[in-house]
Amino acid sequence: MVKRSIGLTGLVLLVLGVTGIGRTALAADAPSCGDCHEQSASFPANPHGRAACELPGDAACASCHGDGKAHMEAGGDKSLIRGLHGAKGAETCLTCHDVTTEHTSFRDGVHGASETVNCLTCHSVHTPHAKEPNLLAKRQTELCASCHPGQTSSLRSKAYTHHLDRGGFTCASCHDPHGRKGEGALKLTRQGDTPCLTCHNEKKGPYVYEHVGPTTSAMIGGCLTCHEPHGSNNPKMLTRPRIDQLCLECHSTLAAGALGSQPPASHNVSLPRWRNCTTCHVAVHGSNRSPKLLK
Amino acid sequence: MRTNRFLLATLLPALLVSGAAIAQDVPLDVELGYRWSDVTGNDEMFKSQVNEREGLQLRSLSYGLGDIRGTNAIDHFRIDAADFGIGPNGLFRLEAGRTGYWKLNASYRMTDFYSNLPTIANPFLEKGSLDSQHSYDRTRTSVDVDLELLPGKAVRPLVGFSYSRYAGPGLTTYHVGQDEFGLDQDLKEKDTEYRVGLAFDAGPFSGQVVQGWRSFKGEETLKLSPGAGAGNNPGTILGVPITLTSLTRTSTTDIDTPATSAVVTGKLGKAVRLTGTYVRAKADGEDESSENLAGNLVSFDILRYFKTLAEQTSGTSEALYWRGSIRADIHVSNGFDVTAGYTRRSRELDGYGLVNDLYGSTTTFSGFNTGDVTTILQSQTRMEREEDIFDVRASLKLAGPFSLRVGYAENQADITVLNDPSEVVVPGGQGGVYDRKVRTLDGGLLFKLSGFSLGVDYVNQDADNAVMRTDFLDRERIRLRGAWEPAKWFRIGATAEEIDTENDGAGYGLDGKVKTYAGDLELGPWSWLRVRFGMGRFEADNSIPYRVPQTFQTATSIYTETGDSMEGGITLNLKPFTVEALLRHFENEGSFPYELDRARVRADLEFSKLVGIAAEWDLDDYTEKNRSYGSGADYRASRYGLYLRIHP
Repeated sequence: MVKRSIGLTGLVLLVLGVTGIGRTALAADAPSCGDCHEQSASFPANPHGRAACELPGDAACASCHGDGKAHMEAGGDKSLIRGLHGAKGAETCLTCHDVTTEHTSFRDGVHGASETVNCLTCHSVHTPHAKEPNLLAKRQTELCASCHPGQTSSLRSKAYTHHLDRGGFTCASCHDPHGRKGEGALKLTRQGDTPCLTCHNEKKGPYVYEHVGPTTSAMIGGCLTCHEPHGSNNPKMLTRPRIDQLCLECHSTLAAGALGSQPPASHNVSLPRWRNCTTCHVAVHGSNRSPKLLK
Repeated sequence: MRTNRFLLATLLPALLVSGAAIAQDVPLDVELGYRWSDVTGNDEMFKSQVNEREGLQLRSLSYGLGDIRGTNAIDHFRIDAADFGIGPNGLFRLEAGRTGYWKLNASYRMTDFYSNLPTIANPFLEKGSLDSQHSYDRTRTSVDVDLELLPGKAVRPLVGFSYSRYAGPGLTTYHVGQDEFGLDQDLKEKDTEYRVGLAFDAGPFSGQVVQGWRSFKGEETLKLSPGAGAGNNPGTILGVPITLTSLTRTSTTDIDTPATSAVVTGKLGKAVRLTGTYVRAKADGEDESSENLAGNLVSFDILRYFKTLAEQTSGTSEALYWRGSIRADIHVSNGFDVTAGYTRRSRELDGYGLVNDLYGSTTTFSGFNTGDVTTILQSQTRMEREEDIFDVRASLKLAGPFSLRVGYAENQADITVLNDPSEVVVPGGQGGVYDRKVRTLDGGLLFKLSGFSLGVDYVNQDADNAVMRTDFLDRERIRLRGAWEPAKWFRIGATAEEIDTENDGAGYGLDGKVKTYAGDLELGPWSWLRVRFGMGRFEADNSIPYRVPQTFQTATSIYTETGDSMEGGITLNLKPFTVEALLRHFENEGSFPYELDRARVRADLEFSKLVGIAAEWDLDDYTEKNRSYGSGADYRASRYGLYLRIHP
């Protein structure tokens, strides 16, 4: 507590000191578009402005909006200037922002440009939200919630949940909004593991005796076999409220050929002692010391 | 001290650049203050769920300079912080750079983890105890730093560093000598990764190669909790009361993981882009532990009573993971894109464990003194998983306001689990060769016109086999989304989703349904007023048969939930006074019924353009229904925050 308070005080004093040293802004060479468009005054401080800082005059504006001569001569006719709205406008953004990897694609990702969802649905080039990174138009969670209210409502309403919007935790902490369909929409770790292991990295293993693998595929036991990351009604964000219920759904020999052993008859789950499987099998995420995950 | 060191390390660049700062892009906005907490009821449950404690807090900070002149070293930087201080979550983030020369992204996170839940590892719940035998109060701190040199240039060196520390006390249990005993636990785990790499652009080709080295070090110390020597089981085993008089265990884990990743993208004309990816990570783990205990105990492994146990364990684990993929993105024409890819990924795990036990002062069940007995358990485990994934998708922007997406994917998994006989509890089901193919067909149709949008997504998956009992053979998901925003001051949206999961194979009988409905309405008729209403319903109905261990009879595991949420919020912006209020009610019926009311009010008052204050009130009121332990887990927690706001 004391350490944190000292650290916090130091942080604030440093930042306040920083701002005191700041000096008056120098105006950049204003392009003539700025005669009408006020946002051009602040454009040099914009990431796009910095990228285009070596372009002369109106060329910075023209690099996205096209030649504005006819637009100006027509007294500001909007039809004579290129906007970035809609799927068509997104093509302009994709001219430069055409990031393509195995998991990410600005063009073909889950939020790839359509009339319904396109670049300006979430981003605002000239008037971004002051407290958000990446020129986002609004709070990250607010943007996601506008189309995914089920997930955000679950995260905000249920008892056991990741704390959305607290301490910088947002949907984008785990999801890549430019990711491709399926697991591409997740922010995998650098080793290709599920994003759960970005924070809960001590569960990454490898273990001598594995229980579940650090997999994203859900083909064989991953985190989501037992946990519900978008908020749960059950303790530990589990998918079931009782431990024995959760364990016995897999650990049964009813189906021949399925992976999952049957507890011996001595495990009388009608008694509280045996109903809490993890009281004995404490190492449910894997063990290096006990074949039966007892430590 | 560690906290301060990290703060200084991450803030130093900001301090250095500020002297050259000229143009201000993100105005400084700092909120610093104190949060008070008032909890009635079960404080442990409150801390396990919310954990917002009393103390000093940097509620938020943002500051950025977007166009720094007068120096060649830097042209922009930005810092953001949120909820730093008393926690439970805190973030500090720094972005800085000079266009064309360097770009730095750094973050520092702090997260408190607290858990003491009545229904987890608590065999005495029905006797009225609400304390879990598994609890912890730990903190995770993590740092991520990534530096790119010469951004935008043809060749760009990359350097990165990540650090994470997870440490703190806890309680756990240990099953030994035919009883369970509570243990005090102290855990220290560190995870460090260094990365270097190179990104490049060479004509139609671009890509990057990164080599990383991860090192994980864990240290755990355990000792018998005071008063826990009698164990959980009040009875006797073979007429002998089981007790533990002392126990200590120390264990260390070291894991080194070099990881290589490479991605290369090549453009074939304007329409086709090929991307190849390769990732390889090889983890080598070593684990050592030493345990000493004394008491009156029974072992069915050696069929003896014993008084002491000295155990040494050592284990090694090797996991080789690699993934290779090739993907083609084809821009067929304006509005028509096709992407197809193939991925192979593989994970091989080899485990080797050695457990050396020395049982002291042993006697047979018939009473003969047999002195010390040594047992050695040597075990080997192996797991292989290979997956081949193929997918093809097309997106088509149809004439007018429609766009259509369709996709098909196949995932073939081959899994081999070779368990050691020591792992087997009851023969069958713990090892073997498994394979499973899942075929996925999905499609989506979107429509948008004049502020009205409507979307439908459909996913159909079928599998030829189940590896685990909860794996599906058929899974279907349909989602409808609609929104109408005729003007900037009015927006209404709704979504409905249903997921059906089935496996009707013999011995499986899995049947699951999840339904989610959510909608919201936002009104902002005047610039000073914004009102929001939201409603949601979460339904789940799952059943699967299982075998009851003690009777070997078949029973059905049924899990249901019906959660209804309602929320309403209002924002009044009457400068210099602003107030934001939100009320949320959630009620769940089914397997774990409870009610949770949440309220939040925040008021801002600006004294001048420089200074203001902000006051916050947060309420969580949690009530469990129909629980055997009555209202013991319920709590009502108010937090009051008062913050000084500075925004010069």
